[in-house]
Amino acid sequence: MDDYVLLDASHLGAEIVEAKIPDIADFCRTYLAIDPANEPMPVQPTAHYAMGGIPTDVEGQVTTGKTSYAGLYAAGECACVSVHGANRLGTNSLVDLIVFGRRAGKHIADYVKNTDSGSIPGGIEKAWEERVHKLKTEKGDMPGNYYKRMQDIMMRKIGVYREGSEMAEAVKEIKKLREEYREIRVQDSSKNFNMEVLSILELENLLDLSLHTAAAALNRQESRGAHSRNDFPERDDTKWLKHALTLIKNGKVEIDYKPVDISSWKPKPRKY
Amino acid sequence: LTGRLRSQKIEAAEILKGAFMTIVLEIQRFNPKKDKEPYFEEFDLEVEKKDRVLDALMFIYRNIDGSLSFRKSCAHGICGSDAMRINGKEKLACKTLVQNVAENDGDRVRIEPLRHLKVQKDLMVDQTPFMEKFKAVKPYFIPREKNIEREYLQSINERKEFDAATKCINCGSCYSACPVLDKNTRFLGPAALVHAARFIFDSRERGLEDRIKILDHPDGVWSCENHFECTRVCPRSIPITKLINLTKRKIKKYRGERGESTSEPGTGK
Repeated sequence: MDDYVLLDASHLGAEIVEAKIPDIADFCRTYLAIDPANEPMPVQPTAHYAMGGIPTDVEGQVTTGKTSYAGLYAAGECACVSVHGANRLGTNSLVDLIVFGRRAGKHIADYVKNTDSGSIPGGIEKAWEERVHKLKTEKGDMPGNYYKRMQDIMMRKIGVYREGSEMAEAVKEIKKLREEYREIRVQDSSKNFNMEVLSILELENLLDLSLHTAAAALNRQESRGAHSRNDFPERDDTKWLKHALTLIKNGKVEIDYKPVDISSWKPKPRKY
Repeated sequence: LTGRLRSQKIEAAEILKGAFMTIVLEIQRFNPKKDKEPYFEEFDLEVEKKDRVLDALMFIYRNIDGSLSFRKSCAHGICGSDAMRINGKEKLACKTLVQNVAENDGDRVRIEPLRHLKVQKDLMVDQTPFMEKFKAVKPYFIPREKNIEREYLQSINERKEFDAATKCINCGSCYSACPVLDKNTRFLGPAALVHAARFIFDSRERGLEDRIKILDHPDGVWSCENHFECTRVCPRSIPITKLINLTKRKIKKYRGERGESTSEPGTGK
């Protein structure tokens, strides 16, 4: 868990280190009191980017491949347009922002010009008011311990190198945590800038996201890009050249698939 | 505040005597909907010396008092959300380690919101005036040539001219630290002027043309009195005062080329 490798960039000299990796050099100095111009940098895994996300087409419209959802858009890291494959290359997430963010914005502008304002289905607002009221009035735990447990499970069992048995445990443990989450309550009853309500709703989403991620990873019996399994070390295009679509229904994860468009670029193993 | 997974040295730190310390966080609390006046609340915490002040705040709001309000997002000095005053100096809570602001067990660390902006709740301030001043300098690229169909070429040296200014994350530290804003609330403030500099020193830009009115104004660059407080607190080490002075010089040159007076409005110079 606390292992690291050392990356030595000191031979490059202070000037190149500052020019090429100014932010990383700053992190090393601020948090570790290490100057990469003189000493090697410790490198550890972290969850840096989500290759998966809400499936969209190139206009940012949400689609499962079979069904498109007019008026529902996703752009940025939450979206999966499927340009990065199973492993995004460094700095390429800018594409999510400046290409697909822009395309989605333009599409939305056109869409709203030709669409009625619509109406919110009855009862939704009331259901949320009740939900927040309940959070604020009943007694229960604070969220700290839940965050910590969720982070622990995901870091240890859905990390860089994955195993079926560990991932199965993670799915089970996250499911349990989702059940227990119902006991969380808010202390702060104020209506203005209630960060606590926000953070507890965010935690609920993170728990859902953890379950989606863990279940899809367990289901995929191959290694591909950033999904690296010790028990299935090879890529398997016959069975797994496809996106997994996950849906949580009554606490269970249903998995469906969406084809991958490889008409322009054929996937190849990356060899160094 | 224990059991963080962040540092590779945690396991070792847990058995190393002195890796943990106790501090008293004195946090300014204020909910304008409830409280007449701001007050300080104390939290006794056990922390790791290498914890960030932000870790301590997050620990409080997830485990002790969920009503504590502050902004944070990336938590590593890129987004600029968690600027606040720590022991009286503007800092990012995510880039300030406990050991940077406390030495001994029981040391007190005072946390206050940024100045010159209205407190919305506890450490959250209303950024509206700050952002309006930012928008006023047109903080976006206005190309010198229109409708060109190739890339804009720029030499490495031309890029260097505005490199420092690109580092601004709009955290508001300089806006809080600036003594001029104590007396002139209309002053654009250091951050907005940094963003202006980002564009007016870009060789591909129309530069001053579209920004002269807002900058060459008593509440624009000419309000700056070279106190250097902005430069001292900037968490991105931007030479803010220098950029403002270069902008002043560029405006004088711009006026000189047009045969206009080069005196500084409101300063008598």
